[in-house]
Amino acid sequence: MKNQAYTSAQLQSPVISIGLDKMTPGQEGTVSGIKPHSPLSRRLFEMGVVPGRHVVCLRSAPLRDPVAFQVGSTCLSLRRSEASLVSVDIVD
Amino acid sequence: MKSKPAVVTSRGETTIAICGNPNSGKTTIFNAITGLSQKVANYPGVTVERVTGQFTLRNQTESFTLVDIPGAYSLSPFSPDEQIAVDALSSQGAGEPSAIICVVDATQLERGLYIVLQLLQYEKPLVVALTMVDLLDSRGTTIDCKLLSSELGGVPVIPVIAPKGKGIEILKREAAAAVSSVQNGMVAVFPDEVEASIETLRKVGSGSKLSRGYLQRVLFDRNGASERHFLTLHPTAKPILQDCRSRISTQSGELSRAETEPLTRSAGQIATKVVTAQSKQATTITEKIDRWLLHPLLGPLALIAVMAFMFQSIFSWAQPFMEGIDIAIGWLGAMATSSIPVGPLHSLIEDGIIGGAGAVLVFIPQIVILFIGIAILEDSGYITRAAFIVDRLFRFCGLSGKSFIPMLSSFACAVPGIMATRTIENRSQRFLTILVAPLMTCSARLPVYTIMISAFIPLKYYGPFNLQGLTLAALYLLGIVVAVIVALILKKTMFRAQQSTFMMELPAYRMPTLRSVLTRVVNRVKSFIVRAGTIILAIAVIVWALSYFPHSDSVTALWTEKIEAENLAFDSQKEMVTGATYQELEQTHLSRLNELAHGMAGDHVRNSWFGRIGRAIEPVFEPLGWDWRISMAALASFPAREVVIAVLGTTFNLGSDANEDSSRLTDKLRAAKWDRGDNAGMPLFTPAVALSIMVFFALCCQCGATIVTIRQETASWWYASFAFIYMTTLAWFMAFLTYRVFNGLGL
Repeated sequence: MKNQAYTSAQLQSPVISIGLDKMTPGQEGTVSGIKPHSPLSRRLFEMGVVPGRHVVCLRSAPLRDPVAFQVGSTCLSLRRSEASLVSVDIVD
Repeated sequence: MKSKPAVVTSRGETTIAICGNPNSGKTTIFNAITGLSQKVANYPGVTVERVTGQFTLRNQTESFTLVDIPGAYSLSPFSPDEQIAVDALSSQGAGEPSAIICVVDATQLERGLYIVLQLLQYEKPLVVALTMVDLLDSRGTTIDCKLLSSELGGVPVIPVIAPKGKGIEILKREAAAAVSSVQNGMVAVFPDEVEASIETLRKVGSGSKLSRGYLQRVLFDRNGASERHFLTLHPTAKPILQDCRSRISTQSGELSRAETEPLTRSAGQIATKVVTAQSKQATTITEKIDRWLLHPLLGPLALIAVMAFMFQSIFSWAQPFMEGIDIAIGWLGAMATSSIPVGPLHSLIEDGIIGGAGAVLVFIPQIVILFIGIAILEDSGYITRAAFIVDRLFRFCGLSGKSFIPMLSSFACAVPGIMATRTIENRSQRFLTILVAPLMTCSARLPVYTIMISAFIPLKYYGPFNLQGLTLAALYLLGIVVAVIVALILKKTMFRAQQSTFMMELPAYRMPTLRSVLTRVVNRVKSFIVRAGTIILAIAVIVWALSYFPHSDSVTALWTEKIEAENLAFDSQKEMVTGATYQELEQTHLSRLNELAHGMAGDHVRNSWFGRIGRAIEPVFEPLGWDWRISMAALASFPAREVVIAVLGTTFNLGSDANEDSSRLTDKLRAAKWDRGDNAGMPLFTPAVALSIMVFFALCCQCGATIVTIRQETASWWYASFAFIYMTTLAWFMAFLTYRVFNGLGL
């Protein structure tokens, strides 16, 4: 349902696909894929990091790593190396 | 639902398991149902803490055992904690749950349903407890519980507000009723290849009753516990299993996707159906608090302030209670021994039991305050924020942000600290945390520091600080700094190049409930007292026996003669004087008698097995500036370091009921002299010796319980021995260095 809201926005703006670790605080996007064959990819899925899900980058920790994200209704903390497994579509 | 006989455990009670996502409110429900009937025991075989509690229904006598299963996001285990959960849920035979309560956070419905869908595959009676429904109400959202129940194939769904006790009675009733029902099974639809593979595996394992859930785990968890179990029973099935997996991978792109995608999809569809009026929520309270508590600058400052407040309260608030317990124990000892004639039994009770094990009970107030603090930090959700803030810093030393909780707990006691490492998924970070956690200054080290500092460190002031306080702070810092250095070295040697993960949920902030906090504290303190009554008591009695026997009669005779001579002398003199002079004479007489009694005790100790061993090992500790009595006290403290106070008391002629608050013990330590060797007659303790003792105690692994816990948690004596050897070696060298430096400075 959030996915649909995004699709209408997609019609008007160009989409840029970046790694989740490259998001800056305040930026919003949609999960587009998870790199397979990593032990973490399964767990990311189970924690709700699923393609189509709305993501907001909340903030990074005082030493810049890890980073907190709002994924759907869950607030997740990921290290940048872990976040790089996830790709997101950002709408400008 | 059909009826079937309930699985009954060996004790004739029905077991119900309670599971769910971490932070779903599972423990609050568990506490609300079982109250103070909780028991901490070990899982059979793996020796892992297993919390159980009893409950009965209103107006009924049948009793149910509720097992608290560690929180899990999925039945495909990722951390040791989750492995325990999966094992407990799929166990068979004794302890097998007859029904499962799965706790689901209503605000995280979709993610919570994921594990519910997995649980349905086990074909075990299931009840869903829906928590945080009040939070949902405040957001103007509702969940149709009836619809949810029918979507899940008839599983009862009970909304619960655990802190207020709402829904608890219904939940108990439904769980009890579920025991004698049969569940319809799974809801999610998997790809054809998965179904075909499950059928193939079922044929391989024909003859035994295999649940769909079990086969699913065999199929999807590469090198998992279920696969190992299955292949042990059917060694020839390995190529079949590999063939199944490769076919699924070809069809779905990746093995795990064939399971996660259908489950996620089903969970999403169900959630969309049952949730009504999902409004685009405004900024939550949690987000508003996090803006401050996770602020780049204010966040770390707040963390330091919280920690400082907690430790300050442990030391200052506990003090009056500790003194109270101390007085009570002393009184109890006096009462217990007053009717027993002086002799081995009298000494066993007074010096061994009351003086040894009783002295440990003095720490209960500190433990209570520490566990209140930890319970509040965990229940409120702040502890995950602390892990978030420190992760980068901890990773530098090879640890993880999740090491923060174990390290913090280790300031009270390394045993719960080491157990708390189970939430760390990464093996090397978990083991590294286990190996350095015992270096944190635990509450058992405190009495040693307290007595040495008050006796030998002068009370000098430097501005707002004094030297005694600074010494104590330096010792705490020493433990932390050494832990960092050791972790850095081990990271570069033993635990090189291991990929690590940190992914963690930052749960919404919640107000900790008084009931939940108190339940945890009471249960913790109960198990602490049990330990003091068993292992510590046993050690205290052994130390007592070694230092009492052989109670040579010739020594007693020699000193009895001296005492009689003193009595005679006093009797003859007292006739001649009156008034003030008489009182003065009596005073001198009493103190002489006292000295003689201590002299006798001292001779007995020197002659005891303890004394003999002490003199034999003296050369080992001589470079640290210690004599045989200090050496022996340190050696006797290896099973539990709090024993040292009792031992010092005995050896320095005081009777072992001396404790850290006794000014007499500090006086006696100040007055102690070398009894032989080149320094004979010189004061035994100098500030340099006191510092070397404290540094030794700071770094040495003098705790049997810690060693046993490391063995249990790493499943290896190798790591337990390694921790013992590295800490003891380090303690000796650092104490040696400390003594040389401060002795060289003329202290």
